[in-house]
Amino acid sequence: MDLQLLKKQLLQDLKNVSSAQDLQDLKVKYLGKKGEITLLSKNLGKLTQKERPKAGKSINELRVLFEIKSGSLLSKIEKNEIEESLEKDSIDISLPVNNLQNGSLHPITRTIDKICEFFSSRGYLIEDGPEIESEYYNFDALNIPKDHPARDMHDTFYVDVETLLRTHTSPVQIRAINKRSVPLKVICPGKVYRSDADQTHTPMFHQVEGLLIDEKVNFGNLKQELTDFLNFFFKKNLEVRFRPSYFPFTEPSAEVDIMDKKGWLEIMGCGMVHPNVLKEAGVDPNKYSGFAFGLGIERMAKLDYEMDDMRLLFENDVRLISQS
Amino acid sequence: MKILKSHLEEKIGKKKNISKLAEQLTMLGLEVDSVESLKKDYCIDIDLTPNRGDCFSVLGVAREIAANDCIKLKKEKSLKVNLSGKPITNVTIKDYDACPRYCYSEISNLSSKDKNNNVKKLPEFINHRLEIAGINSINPIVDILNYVMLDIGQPMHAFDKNKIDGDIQVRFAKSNEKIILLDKQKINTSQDCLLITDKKKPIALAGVMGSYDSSVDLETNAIILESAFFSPKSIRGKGRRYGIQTDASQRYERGVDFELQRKALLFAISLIHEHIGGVSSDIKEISSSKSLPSRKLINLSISTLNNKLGTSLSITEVKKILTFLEISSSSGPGDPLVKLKPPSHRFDLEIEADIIEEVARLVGYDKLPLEKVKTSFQEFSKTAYQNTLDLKKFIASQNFQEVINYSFIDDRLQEKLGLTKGMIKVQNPINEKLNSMRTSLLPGLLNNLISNSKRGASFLKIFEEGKVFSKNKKISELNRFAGIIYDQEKKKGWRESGSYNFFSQKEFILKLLNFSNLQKIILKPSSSKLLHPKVSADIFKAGKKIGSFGEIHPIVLKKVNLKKSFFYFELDSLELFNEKKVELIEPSKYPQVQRDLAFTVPEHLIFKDIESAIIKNSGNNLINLKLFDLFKGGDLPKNHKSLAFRITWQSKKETLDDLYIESIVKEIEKNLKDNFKVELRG
Repeated sequence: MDLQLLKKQLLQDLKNVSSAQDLQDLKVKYLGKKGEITLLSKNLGKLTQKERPKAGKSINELRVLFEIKSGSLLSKIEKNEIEESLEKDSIDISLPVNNLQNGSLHPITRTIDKICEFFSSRGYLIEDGPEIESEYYNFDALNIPKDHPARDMHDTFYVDVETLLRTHTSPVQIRAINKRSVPLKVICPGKVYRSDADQTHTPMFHQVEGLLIDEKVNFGNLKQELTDFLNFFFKKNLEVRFRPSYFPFTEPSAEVDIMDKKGWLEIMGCGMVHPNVLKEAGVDPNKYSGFAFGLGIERMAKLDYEMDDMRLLFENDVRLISQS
Repeated sequence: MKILKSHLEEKIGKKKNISKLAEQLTMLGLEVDSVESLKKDYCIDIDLTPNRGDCFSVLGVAREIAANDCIKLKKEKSLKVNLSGKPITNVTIKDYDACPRYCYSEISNLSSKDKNNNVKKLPEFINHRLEIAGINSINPIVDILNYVMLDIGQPMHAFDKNKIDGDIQVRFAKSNEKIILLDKQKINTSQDCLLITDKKKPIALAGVMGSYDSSVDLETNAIILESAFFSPKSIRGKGRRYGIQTDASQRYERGVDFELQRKALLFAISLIHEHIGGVSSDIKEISSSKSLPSRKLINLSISTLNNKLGTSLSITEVKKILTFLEISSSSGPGDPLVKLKPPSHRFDLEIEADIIEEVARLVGYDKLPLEKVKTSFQEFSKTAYQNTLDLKKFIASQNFQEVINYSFIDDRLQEKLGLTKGMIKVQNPINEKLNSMRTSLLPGLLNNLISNSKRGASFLKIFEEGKVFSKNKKISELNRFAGIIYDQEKKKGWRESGSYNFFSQKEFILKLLNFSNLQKIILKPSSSKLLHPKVSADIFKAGKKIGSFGEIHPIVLKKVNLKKSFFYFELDSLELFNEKKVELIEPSKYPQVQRDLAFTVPEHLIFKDIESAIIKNSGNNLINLKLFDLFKGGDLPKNHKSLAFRITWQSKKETLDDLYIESIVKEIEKNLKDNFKVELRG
């Protein structure tokens, strides 16, 4: 056949291809054992020495043409086929999934962690202590002897004559010194109990106690540390105020207030560890000094989460606490 | 304590701006709770701390302001009072330590009513000041005594002379003495109660409240007026014990100025004479000076003071501050220590630190400089806190919501659930629903489940970490993790995974144990009475039970009136904190060989036993054994099931040949057949 005619026919055939199978059939038609291009190559021998190179070259060009054209056609066809199959896999991705309840930590846990994160980064160890405590650790060792009016500030739950539910996390001060020796930096989050219930009080609540004992610790250190902490916690530069107060286990004692929208707001108690407490824990008050502080977690959470009723925190309505 | 601004100004001798005054008081440690604006005046409510008994009067508060303003208090005008004759009644003090000073006077020819039988009126300013302070008007005599207490801080008491029998004693109670108090409460005193008695009976619980029978009324025409100093120790705790807190007991237990009694008595007599009338005897004082509180000298080192406060105050500055606080000081030239003596009204100044606080207070806490902490290095160690938090985060990541319940709970609920072993009761619970310490986290979680499902939750995954308490000779506190999975959602159509079941829970528990680096865990059917005996497991670590999980026992559901079942787990927290030493082993380069074997197994045999038998006979090149199919029925014999395993071997040293594998398969087959009558299928 005439080469020009064959080329024309070949291009026409390629145009009519619509599937991978069509393409395979064409390949057989042109390049198979009895294919038209194959046959032409076989007949090259019949040509003269002079005609042969030119004809060979033309045949080869035709073969290359076919391969290029069919190659690109194939990838086009395959792409179309994948696309069609994708369509068949189509689903409604907007359908809901099974039981998607997002797990989360309780707001109190988050608040405690935010506080511990700060003090941890400053090298404080995080300690723990018993919740059922002896009168000794909860009161006596903290310079609050029996019948001391300061005991009136704590509405104490008793489980027997000398055993109670700790009314504050301060007993951990003595326990930590006994356990670890000074110098020392500890922080202790935990549950505490007082017989009190209204919008701002629950009979169980949480405190974080901090204690730092070293040589040459002064009141300025306490002010700096707690100011830094409050700025960290509330993520802004707060106006912070220290004012005199009274805790039997610190001297001098202070309350810390921050400036809130409505005015000064009491946020935590603190002070320099009372020499009697150091002595009781076997620490020489002439060599060492320290500061201690305690803060109510619910109050911090209340401010942080802008909620009013603390009791809600323990009703465990998943709709509420899962927001944290 | 509520006082009027004008009353305070009268004592200080100058006018103050109200908001500055309130700020000043607060910054002195006398926290102003609120300021109420009145006609031409203000009512200031001060929240006194228990250490400042000396501020429990207008005089005391004024003293603080004056010291802070570096001025002297206005001098009281001297009182001219007509006194004549010795009192008839004798007073004896049996215990001078409890009552170091007792001053009294007898007033006769008294009448609280005028000629027209109307009750005599006290001046308006007295009535108003008492009303503001929240002190109820009783009768003119008692009102005057209360006014003296409000004004200068000395609690006083008047006995109706005609109602008492002879001489007076101040002594501790004998066993079982009874007294009916003014509020008509009858109390049985104990031997540590200080009493005022006449010849026959107690007439007052000293420093707390007088007796009803000896009380002054509108008909009283003769009184014995008491102005005493009782030691704080002898009064403390009595009010609380009998549930009576009086204005007097609150002041006495914090400490009343022990130099004030005579002055207060004179003041009261002068007011009585002026507004009620009567004739008074001389003032008689019974006292023992060696029993009066001693004001020990306190050594103050100025350098210690400056070190503790971060200040650089001079000795002169410090002495000036202390002088205004009426703390007397003495020191020789060049003496590093200043010797200090606190005044008789201060009961809270005993050691150097107390003085340092006084100086800090008067300088102003806000003026003390801030200073970065420079402390010694402390080695970091991970404590239970971090471990607990890691686990909490893991559990929350498995879609559990954390809850926090009270540690105390209704004992009836614990009883219902059979959780009373070692249960600790709270002796004075806030209410009966919170009267026992929890022995398990289940009751609290159950309450959460009930309340949340009432609110319409059909799916709930909650967990709690916290302590459970029990007493067996000693009190023990154990940290636990527990949780509830409640799935009552209806699922059809596109959600194929189905409802939460035992194996969903087992998968979670195993993930949790793996997260906790717990290896070599053994699961056994649970012995817990709270769980379904057929659908639950106990977890053992080195022979020790560390927790359980599974479906809740139907009996529990019945007892708490729940219709729908749920899954529960409870684990000992401490057992979940494990350090893991990891060694990375390079995987073998040789090919793996796999065989699928299916066995016909009698129904009663459990998977674990078959699996163990296969492992035992699979040689030391076994690297994996997986159950991939389990079915019953079909062409299987009755009461049989088919278990299909995929077993994989791989050697670290060589390519395993077929003959080796065939011999192992034969060994497995023979062993199962001989020991369990288990046949290889097809």
